[in-house]
Amino acid sequence: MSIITVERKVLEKNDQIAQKNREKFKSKNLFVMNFVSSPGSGKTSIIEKTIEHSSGKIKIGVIEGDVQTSLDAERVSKFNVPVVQIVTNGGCHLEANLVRDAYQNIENADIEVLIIENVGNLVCPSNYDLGEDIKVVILSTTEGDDKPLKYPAMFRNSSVLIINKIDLVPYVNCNLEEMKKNALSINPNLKIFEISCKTGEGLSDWINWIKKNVDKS
Amino acid sequence: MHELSIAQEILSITKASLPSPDAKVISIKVKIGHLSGVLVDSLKFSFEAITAQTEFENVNLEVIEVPIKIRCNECFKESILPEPIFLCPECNSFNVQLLEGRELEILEIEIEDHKEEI
Repeated sequence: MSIITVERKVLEKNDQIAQKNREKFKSKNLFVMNFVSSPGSGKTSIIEKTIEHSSGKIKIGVIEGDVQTSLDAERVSKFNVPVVQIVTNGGCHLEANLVRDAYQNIENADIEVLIIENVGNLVCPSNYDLGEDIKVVILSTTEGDDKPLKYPAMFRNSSVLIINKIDLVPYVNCNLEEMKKNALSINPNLKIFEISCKTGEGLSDWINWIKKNVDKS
Repeated sequence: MHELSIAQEILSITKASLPSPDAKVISIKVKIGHLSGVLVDSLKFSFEAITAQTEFENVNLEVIEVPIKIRCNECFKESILPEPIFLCPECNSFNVQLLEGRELEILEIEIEDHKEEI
């Protein structure tokens, strides 16, 4: 028997492409966010509201990732922003090469923020670097305050937590303070926004924060 | 089920690392951190499924599991955390850095020696 020493990262191919994506985004002065969450937490609604409430102030482009259908891209395209749909056909997460190929379609668009909406899944997308500046994890109040503890990798790897559907707090079994405490125990550096896409509460803080990051990049 | 794509990557890195395409692989040693988001049983199942009836059938996927290890930035002690709650067990500070636990690596491949024909 003989041993061959390999010592390579399993996802090194993805990481290399992600790094190339990152360099490309940087050369275009783009601030890139990777939106991750479970299905139904409101990723697409937050994208819609962000575009709507920031119109004129921030130029946004969107890459939509879904297992099936282009419904989300259709929703977002109503706002006349550059949008590309990736359909993974069963794949549970986006990979860097899919983002590289999708971005080619909007490469010449005049944008300063790129939002990548990942496949709704709190597990798999945490492993795959896409070349983004930050991961934004979205959690809605209907999902329960224990989710950060159950899906630690995602919360540890994200820089921002958006708690969505705060208008529903009186009706659901969710303790907001507990949810934030749990999230911060996994990642004390998380920047937290509490919003409601329904009432618009909290959206202006979130949009001002994006604007600040655009000015920096 | 991203373990399936991870199993595929392990196989493709293995193939690319062999000294010759006909080398017979006995085992592959991988390191999986507790915070890597990879379920070991699911990875093994996926690996078996994609290697069935190929020359890699019965290759042993040996998994070394790496616990979450932190260093506290306040008391500077290193600790192993049984759960991913990033709290220093020594001084209760949240100001800790992750040292180990995110690993997802192929360490080595064991192959049969080439038998010289006499």
